[in-house]
Amino acid sequence: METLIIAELLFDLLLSGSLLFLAYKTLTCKELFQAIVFFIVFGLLLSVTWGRLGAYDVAMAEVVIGAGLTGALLLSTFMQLNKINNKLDEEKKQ
Amino acid sequence: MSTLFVYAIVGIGLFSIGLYALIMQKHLLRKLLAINIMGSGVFLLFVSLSMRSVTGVLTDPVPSAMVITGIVVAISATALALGLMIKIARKSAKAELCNLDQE
Amino acid sequence: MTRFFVVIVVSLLFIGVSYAILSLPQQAQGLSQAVYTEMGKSGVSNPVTAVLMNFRAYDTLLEMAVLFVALIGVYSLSYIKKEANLRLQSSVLQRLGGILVPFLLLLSVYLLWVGAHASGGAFQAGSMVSASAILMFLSGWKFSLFPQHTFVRLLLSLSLIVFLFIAILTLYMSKELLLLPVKEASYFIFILEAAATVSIGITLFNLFVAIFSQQKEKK
Repeated sequence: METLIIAELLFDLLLSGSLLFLAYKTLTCKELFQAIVFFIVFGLLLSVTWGRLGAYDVAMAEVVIGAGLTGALLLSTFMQLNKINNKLDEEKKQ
Repeated sequence: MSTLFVYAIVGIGLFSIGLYALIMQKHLLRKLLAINIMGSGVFLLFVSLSMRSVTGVLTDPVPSAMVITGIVVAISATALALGLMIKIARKSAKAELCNLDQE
Repeated sequence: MTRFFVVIVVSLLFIGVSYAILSLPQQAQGLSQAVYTEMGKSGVSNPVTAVLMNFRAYDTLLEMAVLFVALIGVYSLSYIKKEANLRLQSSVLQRLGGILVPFLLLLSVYLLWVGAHASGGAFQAGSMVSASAILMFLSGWKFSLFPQHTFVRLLLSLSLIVFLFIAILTLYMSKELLLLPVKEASYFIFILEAAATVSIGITLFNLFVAIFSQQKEKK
C-alpha cells in the first residue's frame, strides 16, 4: 500500500513536472516549428492528466481537439507564414 | 488528497508561464500559444479543485462539462485568431504587432 | 528592465493565487450531489452528457452559436479558392487515410451512441468526424463539404436550428426554456446530440480548410 502511494505521488510529480517543462519550452524555444511540436506534445500530456484526474470525457475531447485539431491548425498556419516569407524574399530579389 | 493540490498548483504555474510569455514574446503565434496554455492552466485548476468533492467513485460532472465546452470554444477562438494573424502577416510582412515608437 | 518587472509581477501573482488555493478547505460539496439526485429525470445515465445536454443545455446552445460565428469570422477574413487544390502528395498518407477513415467514422458514431451511458458524446464524436474529414481532405479525396453549397450551409447551422427549435418547443410545452420533459428527455437528447455532432464536425473541418487553403486576394 505504502509503495503504491509513493508510486502515485512519483507519477504525479513526473507528469506535472513535464507539463510545466513542455509549457516553458513551447513558449521560449527558438524555432517556431519546435514550439508547435512542443505544444502538441503538451496537449497529449494534458489529456493524460485529465485521465489521472478522472475526467475521462474531457480527456477524450482534449486528445482529439487540443492535440489533434489544434496541431493541424497551427501547422497549416506555419506553412502559410512560410509561404508569405518566401514570396517576400522573391519580391526583394526582383 | 494532496495530489489534487499538486495539479492545482501546476494549473497556476501554467497560467503564470503563459502570462509571462504573452507579455514578453513578440511573435503573434507565440502569443496565441501562450493564451492557449493559460487556458489549459485555468481548466486544470478548475477540474482539480472540483475533485475535492469526490465521494467514492462519484466525480463532479459540472466542471467536466464546462471544460469540454471551454475546449471547443478555445479551438474556435484560436482558429479565428490564426486567420487574423495570417491577414496581419500578409499586410505588414511580419507576424508581429508593430510598436508605435518604431513607426 | 521590462523583463525584471514582468517576472516580479507574474511571480507575485503565482504566489498569491497559490496561497489562496492552498488555504481552501480540503473537502467541498460541489455540485455532484445536486446532479446525482436529479439524474433520474435527465433521460441519460452519463452525468456529463446530462449536464451538457439537459441541465445546462443553454450553455451548449450558446456554444453552438460561438462556433457558428467563429466560422463566419474566419470565412469573412479569407479569400478561398472554390476548388481547394492544395493537397499533400503522399502515397503513404493516401493508403493510410483509406484504411483509417472508415474506422474513425465508425468510432465517432460509437462515441455518439455511447455518450448516453458512458464517457463520450457529441463533442468527442464531432471532433472525430472533423478529424476524419481533414484526413480525407489532405489525402486528396474528392468530396465537397465547403460552405459554397446550400446543403452544407444547412448542415453547419443544423445544431443551432435544432437547439432553437427545441428551446421554443420546450418553452411551449413546459413553460421554461430548454427544460426537457422527463419522459421524452432521452429522445430529445439524442436528437440534440446527433445535430451537434454533425455541425461540430463540419464546422471544425471548415475552420481547418479556411486556414489551410487561404489565398491572397486578387485585385
